[in-house]
Amino acid sequence: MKKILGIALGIVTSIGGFLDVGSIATSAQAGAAFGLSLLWAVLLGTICVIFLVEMSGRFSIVSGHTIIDAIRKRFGFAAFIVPFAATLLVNLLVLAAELGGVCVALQLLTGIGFQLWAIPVALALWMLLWLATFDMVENGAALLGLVTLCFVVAIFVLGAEPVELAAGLVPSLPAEERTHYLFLVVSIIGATIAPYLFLFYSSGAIEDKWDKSFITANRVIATLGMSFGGLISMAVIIVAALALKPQGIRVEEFEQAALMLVPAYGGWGFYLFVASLAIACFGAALELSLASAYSVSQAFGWNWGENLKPREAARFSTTYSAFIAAAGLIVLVGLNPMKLTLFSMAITALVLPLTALPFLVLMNDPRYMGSHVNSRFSNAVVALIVVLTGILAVVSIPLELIGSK
Amino acid sequence: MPCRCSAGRRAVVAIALAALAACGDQDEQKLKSARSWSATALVVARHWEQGEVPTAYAKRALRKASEELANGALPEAAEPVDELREAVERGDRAAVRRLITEIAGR
Repeated sequence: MKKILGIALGIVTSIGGFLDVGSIATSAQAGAAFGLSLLWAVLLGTICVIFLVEMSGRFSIVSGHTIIDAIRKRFGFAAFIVPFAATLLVNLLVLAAELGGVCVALQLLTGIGFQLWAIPVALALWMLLWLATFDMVENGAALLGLVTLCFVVAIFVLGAEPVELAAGLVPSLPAEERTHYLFLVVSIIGATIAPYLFLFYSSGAIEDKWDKSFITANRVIATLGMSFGGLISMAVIIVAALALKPQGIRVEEFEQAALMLVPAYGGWGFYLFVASLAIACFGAALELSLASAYSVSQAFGWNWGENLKPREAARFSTTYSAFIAAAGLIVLVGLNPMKLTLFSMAITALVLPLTALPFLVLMNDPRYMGSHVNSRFSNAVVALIVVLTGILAVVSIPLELIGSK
Repeated sequence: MPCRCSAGRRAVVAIALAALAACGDQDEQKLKSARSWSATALVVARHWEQGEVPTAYAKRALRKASEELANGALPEAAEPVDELREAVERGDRAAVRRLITEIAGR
C-alpha cells in the first residue's frame, strides 16, 4: 500500500513538475505562430524523456551510482570535464531563465519591473533550499504545480477539433518561416529533455534510497508521469493556437502569452496563467539549483544531499548558493526573459548529446547494470532523437540568430 | 560518384542559402510582429475594459506594444496605442471602448 501511494505521489509530482519556463514559452510561441502543427515536437521530446528518466532511475537503483559520478569514473576526469562544464553552463542559463520566469510573473501581477524581483526571488529560493528537506522540495512545488492542469481544462472550454489535434502529431514543414519553425522544434525538444531532469531524478533515487524493489515503480512513474506531463505541454500549444492565433497575436513577450487563458476563464484566466508561470518556474528553479549542486559535488567527490544539514554538506550548499547568486545576477542585468528562455532551450538541445550519449554507454555496461542493461530499442530511440536534435540545433541556432537581427 | 568534398560543399551551400532566406524573411517578420503587437494592444484594452485583466498589467503591456510598434514596421500604429494607454491610466473605460471601436474600424 505504501509503495502504491509512493507511485501515485511520484506520478502526481512528475505531472505537476513537468512545465517550466521553457515549456511554457516555447509551446506558447509555437501555438500562436504555427497553430497545432508543432504538437509532434512535444510528442517526440516526451517519448525521449520517458526513456531517459526511466533509464536514470533504473541506473541509480541497479548500480547505486548517480549518472555524473559514474560518467566521471567510467570515462576519466579529462574526458568528462568538457561535457560537464557545458552542462553546468546550460544549467546556469536555464536557472536564470526560470528565475526570470518567476520575476516576470510578479511583474505581470504588480507592474513592477522584473529585474527588481531578482534579488527577493533568489533569496526566497535559497532560503527554501537551505531549510527544506528533499521531499519538501520535490513534492511541495510539484503539488502546487498541478495548477498547470488549467491548460488541459481550457482545451475543453475552448473546444478543439480532434482531427486537427491528430494532424498536429504528424511531423510537417510549413510553407513559410521554416527557419523559425525549425528553431522552435529544437527549443521545444530542448525544453522537454533538459539534462537536469534526468540528472535530478537519478540523484533523487539515491536520496530516496530506492532499491531493486522500485524497478517497476520507477518504470510506472517515468512512463505515466512524463506522458501526462507532456500532455500539459501540448495543452499549452493547443490553448495558444485556439486563443491567440485567431486574434493575430504572436508570442514574442510574456505580456502576450498572459492573455492565452482569458478566453477560457475570463478574469480568472490571467491569474491562472500568472500562478502557473510562477509556480512552474519556481519549482524548476529549485530542482535546477539542486541538480547543479548534485552534479558538482558528485564530480568532485564531495558530501552531498538535500536531506543533510547545510553544515554537514557545506560545499554542496555553497554550490547551490553560488548558482542561485549567479542566476540572480543574470536576471538583474535585464536580459530579455523570453529571448533568454528560447536560446537556453535551444542550447540545451545542442549540448544534450554530450550528456545523453555517455549515459547510454553506461546503460549498456554490464559492470554497472548487470542483467538490467538497455534493450536495443531503447538505445535506438534515445540516440536517434538526441543526435537528430543536436544536428538540427547546430543548423537552426545560427540561422535564427541571423534572421532575428 | 560524387566525392565527399562535394557533399560537404553542397551542405555549406544549402546552409548559406538558408541563411540568405532567413535574412530575406526579416521584413516579413517585422511586419508580422508589428501586426501582432497592434492586435495585442486591442485585446489587452478590450480585456481591461471588461475588467478581466488588472490595470498594472494593462498599462505595462500597452506601453510595451507602443514601444515595439514605434520601433517596428508600423510606427504610425504607436500613437493610437498610446491613447489607449493614457485612457487606461485615467481609468476611463468609456474612452477605451470608443478608441477600440475607432482603431478596429481603421
